This record gives sequence, C-alpha cells and structure tokens, in this order.
Amino acid sequence: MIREKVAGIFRDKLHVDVPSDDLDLIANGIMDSTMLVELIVHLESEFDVTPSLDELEVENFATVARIAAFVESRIAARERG
Amino acid sequence: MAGLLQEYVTRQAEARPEASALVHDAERLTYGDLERRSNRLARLLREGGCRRGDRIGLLLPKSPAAIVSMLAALKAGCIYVPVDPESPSARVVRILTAADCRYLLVSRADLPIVRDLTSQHADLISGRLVWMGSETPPDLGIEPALSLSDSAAMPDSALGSDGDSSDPAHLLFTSGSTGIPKGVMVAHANVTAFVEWANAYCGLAPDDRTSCHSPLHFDLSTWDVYGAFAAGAELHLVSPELNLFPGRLVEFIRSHGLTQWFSVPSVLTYLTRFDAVRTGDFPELKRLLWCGEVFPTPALKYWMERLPHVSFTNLYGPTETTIASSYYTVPAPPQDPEQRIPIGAPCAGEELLILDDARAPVRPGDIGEICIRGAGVTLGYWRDEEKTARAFLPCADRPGERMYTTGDRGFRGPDGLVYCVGRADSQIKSRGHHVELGEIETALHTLAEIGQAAVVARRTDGFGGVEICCAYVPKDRVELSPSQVREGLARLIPKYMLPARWRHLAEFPRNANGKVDRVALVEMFDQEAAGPGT
Repeated sequence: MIREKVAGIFRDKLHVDVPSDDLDLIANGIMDSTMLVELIVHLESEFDVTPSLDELEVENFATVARIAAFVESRIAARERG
Repeated sequence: MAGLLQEYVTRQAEARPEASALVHDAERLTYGDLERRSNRLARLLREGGCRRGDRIGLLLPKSPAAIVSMLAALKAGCIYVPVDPESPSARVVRILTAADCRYLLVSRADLPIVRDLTSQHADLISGRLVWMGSETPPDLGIEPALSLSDSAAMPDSALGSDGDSSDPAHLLFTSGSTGIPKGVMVAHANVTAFVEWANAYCGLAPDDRTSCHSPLHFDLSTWDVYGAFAAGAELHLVSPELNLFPGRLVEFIRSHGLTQWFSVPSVLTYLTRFDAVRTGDFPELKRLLWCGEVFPTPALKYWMERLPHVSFTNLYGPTETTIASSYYTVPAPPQDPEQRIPIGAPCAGEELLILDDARAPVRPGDIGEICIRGAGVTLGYWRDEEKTARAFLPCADRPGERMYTTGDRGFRGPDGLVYCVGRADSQIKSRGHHVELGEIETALHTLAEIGQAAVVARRTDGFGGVEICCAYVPKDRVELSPSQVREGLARLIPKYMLPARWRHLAEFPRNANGKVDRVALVEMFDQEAAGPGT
C-alpha cells in the first residue's frame, strides 16, 4: 500500500516513470538533489514523515522499495508511541 | 609568473615530488606521480599523432585519471574538452561533433554512453577512442586506437613544449539558446591570471587542503585544480553522489579537514535545508567561497552564524571571462533577510563596466548591463565567429581590447561595489550552471508528440532560487503525460536543465501581439506552487 503510494509520488508528482520498485535511482542517475528535496516535501504531506539528517542515506532512498520500507518503519515507530 | 597551466605541477614535482597532490577515495597521488603519469600519457598522445591545437575529449568521471588526462593533453600541446559523462548521449554527440576531437578518452564508468556512440555515431569515434582503464578494455564495439596501458612503456621525463600562454587550454561547453552548446575557448593565460590573484587573496599554501566539488566540465573546477597545484596544496576530489546526502557531505569536509571550500549556493542552501552544519563545525576550514548564482541571504546568515571562524567570499563571473571577475568577502552575518549581497569589486587585472544600451557608462546607482574586460576575457566561442562577435565587443576607448557583455543587469552602489539584479534575457542559473531556456524549448520541439512548448522560470521563496517550468500542447491532441515528455527530454538535455513543474494545456495563453503569454504562464505555475493539493 505504502509502496504503491510512493510509486505514485514518482509517477504523478515528480513525473518520473520508474520501471521497477527495485531500480537503483541513484546509480542510474534518476535521483538528483532537486528531486530528493521534492520527494521529501511529498513524503511530509502524504505520510507526515520527515527524514532526519542521519536517515537521509543511500540505504533509505536508493529505490522505491527502500523509501517505502523507511516510511513504513517511521509510521510503525510513531504508532508504537 | 604567467606560463602554461601544466607547469604548476612540473614545478611542484621538481621541488616537492613526495608531497601529496591529489586524494580521491582510497587513491592518493603525489606531485611526482602526477608529473610522471601525465608525461607518459602525453607521449602516448604525441606518438598517436596529436599536434599543437588538437582537441582531446575527456568523457571521464571526476577521478585522478581525469586530472592526469587534463595535464597530459596540455603537455601534448593540445586543448582538452571535458564532457559530462552523465549527459545524455545526444548532447555528448553535439559537443563532440562541434569540438572535432582528435581523441576521446573513455573509461569503464562510461560504457553505456560509449556503446551508444559506437552503435550510432561510429564515424565520430572510429580511430579516436583511447581506453583509460588499467585493465583490458571490454567489448566497446570499436577497437580503441590507444590504451592507457600502452603509456607504461613511455619515458616519464618532461616533454619539450612549443605552446604559448595565449593558446587555448580547454573548451568548456555551456548552454546555447538555439540548442547548440557553445564552446568557450579558455587560454592558459586567462586561468593563470585568476589563479595568481585568487591564490594570493586567499593565501593558499602547501599545507592547505582544498576540494574539487564542481564537475570538471564546469569552469569553477578550473581554479580548484590549478589553484591547488599552483600552491602545492592537496586537492580532494568530491564524488558527485555525495551531493545527494547532506550528512555525508559535511562528514567529508570534517574528516578530510578541508581548509578551503569552493562551492555553489545550491549545495550550500541544500545543506541549510537539512540543518546539516553544527555551530563551530569544520574547525580547520578558513574560507568558504561560492560562485555561479545568488546565495540567498537567509542561508548565508545561517552559514556565517554557525562558522564564525570562516571567511565567506562571494565570487562572480561567467565562464566567458574565466572562473570569476569580481569578489566580495562578507564582513558579518547579514541581519536583514532582504539585504542584497554585492558581487563586489573587480579581481586584480579585471574591470567591471555598467553600460547602457548605447554602450555608454551609466551614472552611479543606475542600472545597466554588466560588461567585463581584462585578463580573464576568453578567446571567444569555438568555431563560432558570429556568436563571438555578438558577445565580445571591441572597447571604444581601448583599441585592440575586447569586453564581454554578460547579459547580467547591475548597478554600482554608493559603496563603489557592484550589485547584480538579474538577467536581461531568458538565461537562468540552475544549480550553478547557466541555462538558456531556449535550449530546453528547442529540445522539446524535437519530440514528435509536442505541438508547442514553452519553458519559463519562476522565482521560489526562501532558500530556493528559480524553478524551471514547462507548459506544452501535444500535437494532434494526443494523450501525452508530463512523465512521457520528461522521459523524452531526459534523452536530450542534462538533468539540471529538466523542468521541475509541468502543465499539459489545450492551448497557450496569448498576449495582445498573439505571442505566447509567458507572464501568464509564470503566474499559472506560481498559483500551482502556492495552492493546495500540489
């Protein structure tokens, strides 16, 4: 569900067709700093999730799947209180 | 001490061969290494038939191999042409065609683009490919004419030079409004003039650690590289992917103990946005400089308040007048967010003129076009006398001398300093690169599905700068999504030129003259950015 929403942000908000959720957006030169800033704005408005400086790392942002996993973990942490 | 750029390295190698010159990831080269490797590669290029004035294309990622290649091309008497390996192959082809390179140096990092070139533009690279990998080349579709491993057998002693400091050292291709990139011919003497001034002003010394942050096809990197070598300092190459992750970038500056950092406002504001800088961070840093675009005052205040031990210097100048032509060191953190930071006073050997439409000086305080003359004025555009004659004008009061008309609007303040207020045309700055909106429009119109397209820039608030926006009408009313247009465009122009906002229109708003109403388009995008649900 979250993964679909993240893929939707790329398609409808950032206007980028990402062929696979596991495609490395950084190694393939798709993501640059401008797009990352835009993405973060949309993650904030869609999920109320803002990555900290330490979380803003390749491990969390290289693919659609990893971004979704990061958002999920943040939402789960929030719900645990 | 004007001379040829490669002599900076030769002098350091003679005086301090074991001193560290270049650091990139785990790789470290001394001045002796740099000198020997570039001598060997230069001999290989000479044996391969290179002559004074030949162009050598460098399709190489920022790396020690790329720096060695720059030096080797110069030592062979040639002109190097750094080409962004991240650029779409269509743009690389346009640049290579224009530059008419004798050789093109490639490495493993560029395999996709090299294979693209061999399959579709074999004539451009046949007999011209130089493989810069240390291993046997993979199947490139075309046999390389030369290979780095061939240079191992070459003597590593210095080559004689028949070059002159007025010879072009490199061609730097910048955005052109008609879609054809323009190659600025930068002479050795243009660069040495800036290096001599800037190194003295900043007090660069052998114990300094500086960084090369900008890409090598971008003219700011020229001072990073030759400024460090002239001073005998240690140059740290910053990989482009570090720009994406603010935490890693600041950690790079901390762990390498950089003493000077030449950056661009887009990177500095990006770090500001994530509050990546601690108070008193980077204790070894002495000076931070920026160039290429306006540094928003709130972001500058953020940096200056966190780093009170650092000098902050704004540099200004287009590629056509070499790296920078004026400077201003900000004395204290600006308290008023609206405060305009001057582009300052001319660097030694340069002169900034503020001229009216008749090319006469305006009165102090009046706005006019900023024109530059002096040691940095480059030789003009490669094989384009018409564009050169339009932008580089003779000085009426100084026979034989030329000035460059920047297209930037500015005025001289009561403090005697020059202030820049914007552009006279549709050129903008995006992430430090100058971008002609016309180049984006030209590319859009080559897409078969586009009926009409217009590209405008809108100002963004706060830490941002400008945002490129595209409106389009599809041909024959076909369905055409922004992502389809974006994908088509990404094959033609570099990423920093890609619009951030898109709008599919049934027809364009027109002004009274029947032309596309660009003001209305900007308003439309402003409303979209401000409105809900965006």
